[in-house]
Amino acid sequence: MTSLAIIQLVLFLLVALFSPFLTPPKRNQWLLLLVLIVNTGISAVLLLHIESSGPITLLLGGHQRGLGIELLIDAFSVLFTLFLGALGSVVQIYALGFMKTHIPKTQHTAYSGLMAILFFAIFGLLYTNDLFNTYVLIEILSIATVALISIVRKKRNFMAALRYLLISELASLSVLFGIALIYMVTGTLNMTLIYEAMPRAFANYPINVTLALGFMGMGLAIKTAIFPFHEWLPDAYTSAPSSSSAILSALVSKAYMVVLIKILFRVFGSAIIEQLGAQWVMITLAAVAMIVGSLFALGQTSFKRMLAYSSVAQVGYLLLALSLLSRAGLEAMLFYMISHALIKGTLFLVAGSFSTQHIKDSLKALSGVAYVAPFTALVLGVGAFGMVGIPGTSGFIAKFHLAMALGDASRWGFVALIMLSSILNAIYFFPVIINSIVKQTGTVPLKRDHLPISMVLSMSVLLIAIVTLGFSPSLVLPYIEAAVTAIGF
Amino acid sequence: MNNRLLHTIVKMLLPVIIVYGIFIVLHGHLTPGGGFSGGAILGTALVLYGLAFGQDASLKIFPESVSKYLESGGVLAIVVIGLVGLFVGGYFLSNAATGVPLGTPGDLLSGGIIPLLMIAIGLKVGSTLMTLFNALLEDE
Repeated sequence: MTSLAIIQLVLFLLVALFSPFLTPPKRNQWLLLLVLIVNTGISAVLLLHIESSGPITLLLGGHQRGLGIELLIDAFSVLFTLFLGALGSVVQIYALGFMKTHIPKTQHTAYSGLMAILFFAIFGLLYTNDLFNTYVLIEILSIATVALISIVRKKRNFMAALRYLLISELASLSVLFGIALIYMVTGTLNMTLIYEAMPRAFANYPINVTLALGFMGMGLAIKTAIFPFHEWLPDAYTSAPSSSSAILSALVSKAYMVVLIKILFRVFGSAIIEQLGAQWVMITLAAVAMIVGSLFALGQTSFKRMLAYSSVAQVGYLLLALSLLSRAGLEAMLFYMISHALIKGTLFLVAGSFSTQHIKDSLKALSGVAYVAPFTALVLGVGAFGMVGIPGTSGFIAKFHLAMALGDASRWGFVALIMLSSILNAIYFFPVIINSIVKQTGTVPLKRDHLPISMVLSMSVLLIAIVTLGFSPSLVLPYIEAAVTAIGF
Repeated sequence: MNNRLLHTIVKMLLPVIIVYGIFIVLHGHLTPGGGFSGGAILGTALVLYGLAFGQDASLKIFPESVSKYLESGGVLAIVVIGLVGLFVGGYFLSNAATGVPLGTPGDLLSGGIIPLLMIAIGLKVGSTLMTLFNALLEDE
């Protein structure tokens, strides 16, 4: 029972290792899907186990705490492995149909292998309770991401991948530097032990701790594309094949967010952050990102690029919730992460379906699209409603919780900011929906292309998930509360 | 590439480099070095051969399919050994519980599964170096 988490990680590793041995590349895709579903199931079992008998601490190799690597399997990490595993399975189902037309045949083996390594790194990042291990997994994750961006061998993919590689290596080094500074003052890399030693270390070496927080925060700000550090994101999301973009925006950026939460609350602790005033830095960055990201999105002519800039704005919302440093804020943030991963993942899948149906990736080409691709246009509509925060979608509940949390902290100015940013969202999403229904003759080819059944299936599942969460958020709220308790609030 | 001097010297050097690489891999649990460094040395020997005699010659003695299988196989061996440890001893990569004799510390045949892991890493690193070398030459 206790080593199930190890089995999850090993299963992903085995998929990656077996990929060159399985000759028709199709089998690799099915194997990856099977492993994703099995691992999601294992996460569900672990979640039930934790509910009844508390968190599991796994000391690898049986070394005592502080000497070896420790995995912490609690309500927080398992909630996210369960959610990200399930979402990953749905996107993988989509990829079964999507790959045939959008990824060169020679790269199919590499795609499943890289995807397996990416999931290995994400699950590892969620479970690990060791700072250096976190760094290693961040490196594995960024290399896998870079390779996934450049899997379509075109010039603009190579450009985007190289750009992301250089920027994200800088970020990894920044994180490593922060870890080194923490190791210098606490003498350990285990997060729990560091948390215990932190108050004394902060009293004796305040400059070291401040610098460490700065370096790690800076590194993760680049990785999660918080506003001034978002330069790599639009190119990367736009040029990657849509199933990869969905994985990047829905899973990878959320994994880094989880690392940020872990580092803030499990390594430094909210008392030190408050004392250093770091929450004001976060608030400033969040407010700027929410407005500027939306303004950038307004000016785009490409649908995927618009989605990419909207991600920049959404990271601002997450950061705003995080900056409250309160239980309510963190609950709002976790729900927002789940909701945003679902909606943005769906919208990138929609972009992929349009390109499968030979509709160009430009906002102009989308006019009248509902007549050619009615199902895809329906999903687009619901996804866009979710992004804006129309009641009935998970996006509304997420924004509502965030506004409530802000109201509790009596930061009414930021509630107004959320409304302003939502209006901006509406300004760039609604024309897309209206355009898709209003037919302009001569702009759309009138033949219908049918989507592969796997793509329809995965988009329907996501559609149902968005609407279900919009009507009964109580399905996940108890687990989120348990997760926030596990973080230490 | 018809340089007689180069060919002769590489032919003289190769056995020495390969034996040194194998030595480093096998003494991984006793001396500084180990699977990674030893594997890198073995890989360098292959790269040197490729540089001196051309890529075609090096692909003839070490084709890409071999390096592909060795790369995956090396890590696969580690995972399998680790899983044996998990099921027999309760921890991933547990050593003594797997039943591989531990021997006297300091002997060549000692350390349980560690020498096996070193050999697996050595194969993986050596073949990866060769794959990288080939990939760099191909993409011109």
